[in-house]
Amino acid sequence: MIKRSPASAARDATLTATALVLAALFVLFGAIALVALILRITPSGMSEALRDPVVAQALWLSVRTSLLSSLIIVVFGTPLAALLSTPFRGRAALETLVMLPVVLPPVVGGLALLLAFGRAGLLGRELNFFGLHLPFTTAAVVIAQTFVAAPLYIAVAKGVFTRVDPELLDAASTLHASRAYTFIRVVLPPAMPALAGGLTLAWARALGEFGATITFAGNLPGVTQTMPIAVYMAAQTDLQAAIAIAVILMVLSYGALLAVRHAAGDSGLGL
Amino acid sequence: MLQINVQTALGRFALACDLRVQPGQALALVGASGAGKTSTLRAIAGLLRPQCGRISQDDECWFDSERHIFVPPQGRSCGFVFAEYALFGHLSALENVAFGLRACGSANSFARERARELLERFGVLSLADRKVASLSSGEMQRVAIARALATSPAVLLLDEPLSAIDVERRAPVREALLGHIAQSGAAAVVVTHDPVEAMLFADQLIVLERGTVVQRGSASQLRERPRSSYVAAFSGVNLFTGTAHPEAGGVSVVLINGTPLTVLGSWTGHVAVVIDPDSVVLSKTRPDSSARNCLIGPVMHAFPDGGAVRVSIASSPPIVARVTSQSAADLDIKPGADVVATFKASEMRVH
Amino acid sequence: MLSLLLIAQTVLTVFAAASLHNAFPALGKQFEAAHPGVTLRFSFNGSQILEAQLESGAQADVFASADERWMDKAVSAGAVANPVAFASNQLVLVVAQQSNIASPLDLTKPGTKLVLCAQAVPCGAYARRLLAGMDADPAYGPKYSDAVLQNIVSNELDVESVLSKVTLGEADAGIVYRTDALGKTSVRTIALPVLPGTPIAYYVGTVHSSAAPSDATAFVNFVHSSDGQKILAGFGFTAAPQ
Repeated sequence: MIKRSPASAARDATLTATALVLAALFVLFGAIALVALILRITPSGMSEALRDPVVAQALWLSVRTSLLSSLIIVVFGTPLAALLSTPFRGRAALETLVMLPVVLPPVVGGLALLLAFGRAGLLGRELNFFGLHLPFTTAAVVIAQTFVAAPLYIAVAKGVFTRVDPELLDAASTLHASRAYTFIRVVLPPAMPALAGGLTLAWARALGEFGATITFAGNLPGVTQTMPIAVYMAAQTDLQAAIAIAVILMVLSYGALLAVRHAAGDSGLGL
Repeated sequence: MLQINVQTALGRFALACDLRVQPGQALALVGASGAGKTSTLRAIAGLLRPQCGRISQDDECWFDSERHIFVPPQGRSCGFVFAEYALFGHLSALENVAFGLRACGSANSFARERARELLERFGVLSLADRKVASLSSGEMQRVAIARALATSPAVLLLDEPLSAIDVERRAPVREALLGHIAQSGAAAVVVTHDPVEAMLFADQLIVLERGTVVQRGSASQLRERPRSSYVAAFSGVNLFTGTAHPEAGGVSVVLINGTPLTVLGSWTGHVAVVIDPDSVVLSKTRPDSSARNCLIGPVMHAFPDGGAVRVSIASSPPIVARVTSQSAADLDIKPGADVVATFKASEMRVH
Repeated sequence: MLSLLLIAQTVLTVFAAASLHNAFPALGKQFEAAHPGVTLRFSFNGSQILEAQLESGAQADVFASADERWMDKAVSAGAVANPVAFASNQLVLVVAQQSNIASPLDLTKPGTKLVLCAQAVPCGAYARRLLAGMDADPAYGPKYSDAVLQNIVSNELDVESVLSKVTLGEADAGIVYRTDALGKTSVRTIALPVLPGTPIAYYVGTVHSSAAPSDATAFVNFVHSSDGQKILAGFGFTAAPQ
């Protein structure tokens, strides 16, 4: 009978211990930052922040813009991801283009949007003709969020669609299902949990978006001042208020992530 | 009638296959793995586009390389049973079977009714609402068969359709399939590398080796005049069909073309009996042994097979024996010489 | 020899308001020439941000703020001692070259897109104070500041952002320091009134936790010496209010 040598068992234990230590350090690093934030809250600071109309405005603006961005992302991103999962000439180029916002610093992204869709931008005259003035509007906030967050969803969706068993697609075609029918009935349903995870990721990114928003949409309470911008502004004058807003944002995000994880089952973010 | 004549490159060799299947008939496509059997099925279904050739079903042309015609799978009346079932895991068995009809625009209720009928025919109606992922492979295979039949296809393509079902339980499924083929007039092509399945399923066999058809014909034609050692080994399975009636002592007698053979167990009615060539003992005279079955006849041919020889004997029914080259030499086996073949009842398998 | 030089080298870290980003390096060069062995390192940012950094314990030797508010905060937080006013500035209106805004009165026109710095940024606070003060001037009228504030479309985080929005043509007008608009040909500058009472005042002081207090004090002294003032004037700054 061949047994494992004591040396290999010891090596195994060392590797496991090392992995655990590295993981713990990494988690602690992030956790300490969050804990430091929470420890500085005062009850009065929190209640004041919750009653501040500027905070309420920012919260409401952030929630509705991020939800709208997420809706746009899933409606436009899903077919785009489906397209990217099938081979065709120029696919690599299209994919690089779609993923570009991920590597662009957000402020650069905002500047690009401004140069494209601003009043004096590339499409300025055309948009003007239709009465669409984008900078400094809530619509611009949604555009900026969609721009930076869409690639996250599209990457996840594309991964899921590419991993479909080709034999299932074959079977569907022999059962006379068109490509669209196959996509809706065979590919999409089992992909839902993973897609939900990808959308949550995109939503979280949209919620936290700062640089592109302030560059393209500007900063005006009630119109374009989202929660992250409100936190930044508050931090310069009233640290307590900033912490309170930051904590509200954290609770909101974490709550939503938990809810989605619960709904999506144990596949979690499905990544 | 299904007509195929295609040539295409398949990696390391070229596939060149032509075959015809009459409506209501089944054709078995056999060969070693990688010979091009599944590729042929895929070409018929439209999942593979051959480089040249023609595929037509009755007066519908599905593929013609010269006239640049290619009908996609959705437009071909083909049912495909995949070797790995390819069932839709997120749907129930019923929904899987109803899928094809619904994809064609049938009403939900009609599709579900038809699906129930088919599930019942293959003995899996009780699993209708179960998610397919929770089924055993034998159950999944039956659902896959039902699913392929639901749209009443003119051509039925089956890739190892019974492999996951226990040998003793294959008969009813096989009967149901063959019944459906005869009734609906579908032309069926079955891919298998199990000789017994091939012979039980189809009247015509086509043997593919490295993409080329090396022989086609009935099981007995292949057995009598094999053109390659693969064909010889494949067809050299002794498969007899006859009527059985039980006798005392836990045995039954099967009448095959008038010759009685003794088998173990209680069997009645139409049965198929298999005896492995390796279990057949040859001798010059009838031996004094415990073997209950004995056939006498002249040697038709002797085919070398490694260190052994496959001897085909024109007895009634004809039988193939496999003995060592040494034994063959000792017995002076040569065509025309009479020889006695004996085999035990315990070594016969009844289907 | 080299090692002696290295030991003798003192590095002074100067936290300075963003609007000083041209003037202070010039000051620094002259100071370094006069004080071999001292190197100046500048960190330019909004005064409000620098103050927050100092309060969090950032290492610096000198702090120069664009307004009294943030210097006061730094002093009450115990970060800075004995600040002195050393310069003043003026606000101007910048508009796009092709814009038809000719005077500050045009800012009241509905639909005008005006960008200012945020309230927390000194430039933004000064701008709002100026606009409020213009209500008392009959040339503008008591409803002036309300009308103008209605037209604000964005509160930018720094003067650079205000300038870029106007330069790109996205905003019709912005209010920035005169020193920031000097030499910018991409925009037109329109003068704004200078109101008495609460002038713009830049303050400078040494940081308590400085590792080189004597050198830091020397720099502070240089800033409001006549040489230093001449350099500042060259960049468009005016003398500190009395």
